[in-house]
Amino acid sequence: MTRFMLGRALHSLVALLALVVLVFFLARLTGDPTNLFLPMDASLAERQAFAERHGFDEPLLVQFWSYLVDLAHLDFGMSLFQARPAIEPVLGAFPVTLRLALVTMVLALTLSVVIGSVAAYGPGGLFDRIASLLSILGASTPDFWIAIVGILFFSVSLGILPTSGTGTGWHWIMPVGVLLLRPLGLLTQVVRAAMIGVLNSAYVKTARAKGASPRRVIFVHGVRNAMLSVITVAGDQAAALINGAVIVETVFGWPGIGNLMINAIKQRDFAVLQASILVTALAIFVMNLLIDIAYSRLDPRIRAG
Amino acid sequence: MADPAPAPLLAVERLAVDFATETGWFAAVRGVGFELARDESLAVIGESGSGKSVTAAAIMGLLDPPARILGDVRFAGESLLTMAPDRRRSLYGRELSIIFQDPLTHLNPVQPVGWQIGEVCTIHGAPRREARERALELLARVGIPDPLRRYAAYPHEFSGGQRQRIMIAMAMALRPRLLIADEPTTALDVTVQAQILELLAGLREEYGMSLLMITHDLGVAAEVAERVVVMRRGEIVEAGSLPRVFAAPRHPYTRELLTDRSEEYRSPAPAAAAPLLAVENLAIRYGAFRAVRGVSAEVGKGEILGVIGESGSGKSSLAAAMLRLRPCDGGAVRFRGQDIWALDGPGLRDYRRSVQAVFQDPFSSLNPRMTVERLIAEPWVLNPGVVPRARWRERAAELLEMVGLAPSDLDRYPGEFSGGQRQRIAIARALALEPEIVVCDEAVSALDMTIQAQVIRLLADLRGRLGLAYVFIAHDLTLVRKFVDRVVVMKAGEVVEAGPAEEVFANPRHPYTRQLIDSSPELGPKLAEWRALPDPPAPGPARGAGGPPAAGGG
Amino acid sequence: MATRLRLLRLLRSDAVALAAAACLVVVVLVALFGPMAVGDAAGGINLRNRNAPPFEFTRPWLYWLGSDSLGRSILARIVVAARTTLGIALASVAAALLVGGAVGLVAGLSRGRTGEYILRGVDVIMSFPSLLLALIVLYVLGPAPSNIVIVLGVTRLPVYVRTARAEVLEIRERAFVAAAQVMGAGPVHIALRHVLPLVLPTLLIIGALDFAYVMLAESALSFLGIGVQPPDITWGLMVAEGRAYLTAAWWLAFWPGLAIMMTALAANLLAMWFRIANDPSLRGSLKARVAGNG
Repeated sequence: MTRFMLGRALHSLVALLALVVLVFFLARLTGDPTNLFLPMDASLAERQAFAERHGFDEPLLVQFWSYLVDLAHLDFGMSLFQARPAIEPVLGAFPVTLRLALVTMVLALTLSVVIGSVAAYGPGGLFDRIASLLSILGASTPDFWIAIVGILFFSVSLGILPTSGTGTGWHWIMPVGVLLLRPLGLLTQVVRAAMIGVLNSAYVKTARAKGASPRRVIFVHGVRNAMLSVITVAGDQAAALINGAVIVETVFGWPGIGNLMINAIKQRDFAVLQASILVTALAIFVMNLLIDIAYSRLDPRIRAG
Repeated sequence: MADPAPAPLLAVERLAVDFATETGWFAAVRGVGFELARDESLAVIGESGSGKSVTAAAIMGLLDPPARILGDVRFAGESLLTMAPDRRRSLYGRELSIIFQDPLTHLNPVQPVGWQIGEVCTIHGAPRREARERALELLARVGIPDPLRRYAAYPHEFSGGQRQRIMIAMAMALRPRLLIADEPTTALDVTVQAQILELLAGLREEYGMSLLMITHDLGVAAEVAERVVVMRRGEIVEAGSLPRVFAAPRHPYTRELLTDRSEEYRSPAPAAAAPLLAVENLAIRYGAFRAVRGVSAEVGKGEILGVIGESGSGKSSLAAAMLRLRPCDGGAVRFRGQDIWALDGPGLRDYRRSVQAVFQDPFSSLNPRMTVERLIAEPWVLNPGVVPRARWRERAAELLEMVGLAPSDLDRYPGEFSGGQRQRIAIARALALEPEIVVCDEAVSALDMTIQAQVIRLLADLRGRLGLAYVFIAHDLTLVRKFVDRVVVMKAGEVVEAGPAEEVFANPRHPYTRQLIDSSPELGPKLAEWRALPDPPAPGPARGAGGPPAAGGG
Repeated sequence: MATRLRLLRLLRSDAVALAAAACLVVVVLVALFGPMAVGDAAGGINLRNRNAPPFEFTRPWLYWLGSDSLGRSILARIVVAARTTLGIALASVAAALLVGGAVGLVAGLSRGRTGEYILRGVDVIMSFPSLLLALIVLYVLGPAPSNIVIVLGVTRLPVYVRTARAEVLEIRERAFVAAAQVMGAGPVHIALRHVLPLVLPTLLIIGALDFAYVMLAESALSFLGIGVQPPDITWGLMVAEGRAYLTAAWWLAFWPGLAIMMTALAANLLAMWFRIANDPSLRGSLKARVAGNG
């Protein structure tokens, strides 16, 4: 098991490094990186001072090394518009997104296990068909659009929910609802398929032949096996959730990392963009590692290998 | 109607099971009735599609909609089909239990085996501690070494035979009165099969339980059963005491099953065969594992070489090496005296044309997206010049006829054929290049007994007509006995015995060969004994006999 | 041929799948020929029909879905935007399918460690949110339509590589591949004649599902302002532009979003149906259920 975990951790590390390299070289690819880091209307003096400060006149490998050393110190340079280290707004915004993502993920997992299991119990039945249709609908709806329509309906027409901000519980309803759409639909389908597979499996036959009740069959023999396939997908969903968070935070004006990134792009604040992307990536890799641990806990066949 | 005698332990009455299919209801079991007394052992014999396993599933309440069950199943006088679900569940696992063919898939992969055995006890109300003790006791009883440590191990950490022992321990946990064994040894090697059957016999004696053995293997039935029921296409065709049915079968199908056809497979061996394909001191490794070690064998023109071995004996690696599918890690394979890996150009083409193969699984050996015509013509695409393109269809039709199929089958897809028919198509394809040797890697193992007989007869016939040589790889001794000219017995990657088939089978010199022969359930001697009985013993309880089944059921 | 006919017959018997197919055909036809039919109503300023709300049937039919503050017809703009939206999505999916399928085929067929390395590389892309990758690349390279196609194609690549490789690994072990080798078939023959025909249907199904996904992704990028830039228009960009007028003219953002949803829904439904129709085991269970109910 430790070998398996070490292997996975190594893969995550390689992926993270690949991203760091990608960010570095993409930034240099455009020619003069001052164009990236400084606003379009920066004066020549400003550009020169900037280039000297960051050593853009040095050889590329030297630059890469000092870039790596800076990263290790969480030094992403200065934010141009906030006149403070770029990492500061990122660390401020990160918990907001994390909370939003966690609440959504927990809700999506719980709801999908319940809905998917019930649908799997009577495949082809009315509940199953409605659940399937809704999950396809969830996968087909543009999240930014449904967010706008939600604001139009609940805030503008009915006036019962706030349009933006993070103050009260009411503020959470629409963002979480919109963010839930995609993972809930997908996970429900996955739980359903996995559960149908498990319920038709030979070992469930054995359990029934032992005299196990339907409840015991589902919860003792079913859920744990079905969770194996759910967990593998949940990892990809965690990454996809960030996609949704960018949209949701933009539309609902949440001071999260997605919002920060979009603003950084609009203000051409490359240091902040770079910091937020690397911090997000780090978070996702930690998440994937946790998922791997959970997987190997649940599946003894992995543990042995 | 009042029955003065005590109710039989199990009574299946006019049982009918239908499955919903694309084209409507499919009757898997039709009007099946039999009884099983206390302490009795009954074998239900049938080939695939006979409905024997469906019957077992119906008894154990394992069929769900869209299956439809009619008729009745009574256990100790109570109807299992109509009783309250709670009551029924309290019987399953405690009073009647079941073991299956494939123990790996039938054990939960994520739970320790000890827990799974003990679960039977906890489901039926035993406290955890007691369940654990019972599980440990059972693990020891079924012969799992070091039960205390193995209690917490998972199914994938055991061998096939051990997994079946674990299944048996699970079924025995609460000393049931009836054990249903659904092809319990089919997936196992013959030597392991013998051990499992012995274990079952011992447990039966110890616990005094009834046994319902579902099997396709007459030898297994003869070993364990007192009475038999023969099923075919969902119906019982014959029932009675085992000696009576085996010694004097009444139904033509039973007779067909029991005929000793081995003489039919015999075909004249060539006088003195010059070696065509020779394996010299072959070694094959998979990492550190040495699959084949120092194996030598040769096959001459028109000769049939049998290669016998259990799983892990290296016989399939040997086949792959002969077919140039896998490089040798030592030694060589020679075709007409030349190393096959040194061949190129015309020499390689000649080798490819001359050495063809038929594989075990008729479902995966034919590309499902190609018509039969394209399948048979593929060798000609790859070897231009053998048959002119204009004659492909005609020649493919000829080949189909040669293997007993119709030319009209050319435009159909493999999915439309049965396993036996597919294997015939594979043989037709192997013959397309007019080879001199066909390597048959377990070519009949996946087929039903009667189909196996047909395919082997076809192969014997083709050797006579075309002068083919075969390398016939098998784990089943009964079929190859009379079919092969010479035999090589392999164990753990090595040849333990080789020689003319009749000599080896009559006087095995190596203990392993003897063990193999002794383990394969052999009917011959017992049949002679039963047939010699002055008066065939009366068939078991008359009610058990099938008679013409009531069509459609209740 | 026979299978294609069978599929058509099956399609006709399923009302939902038929409707989805019809919907997609209409959308494609509109994208191909619509811009000619609406003329310059999409770009032309028409002050008489400024801020027209939808469903005023007294106006010309182009204005039945309303118009924006410059009097441009929403319907005409949706029709024109259809071409860009579908074009980008199709090009991205086609590129990802071709490149990813080929790489996956190679990864699956190659002995040794090559396949493993390819898979690791693909994992790197996979474990990273596609939108972030798109953000950074488009930020650096600029939001030209060709860059959008490349970015979307790259982010979808892993799915095809993984699927193709997994399928190839499974097919490679089937006995008919060994049988072909025994007949003298080389790796190219096996890849093209035996493996590809069996992998392709699966890849096409994923392609259909991905079409919906990629269209949503492109719309999201355009909505965020880092995708397609004016004067080009896509449905996502139209929603973004309409967002500012949400309270005054809701129809500006509503209709293009609905167009996205309907198209994605149709593609998803059709892909789902095709997957069931193409899988004998699933198809059997569907039909069996029908028989079981009757």
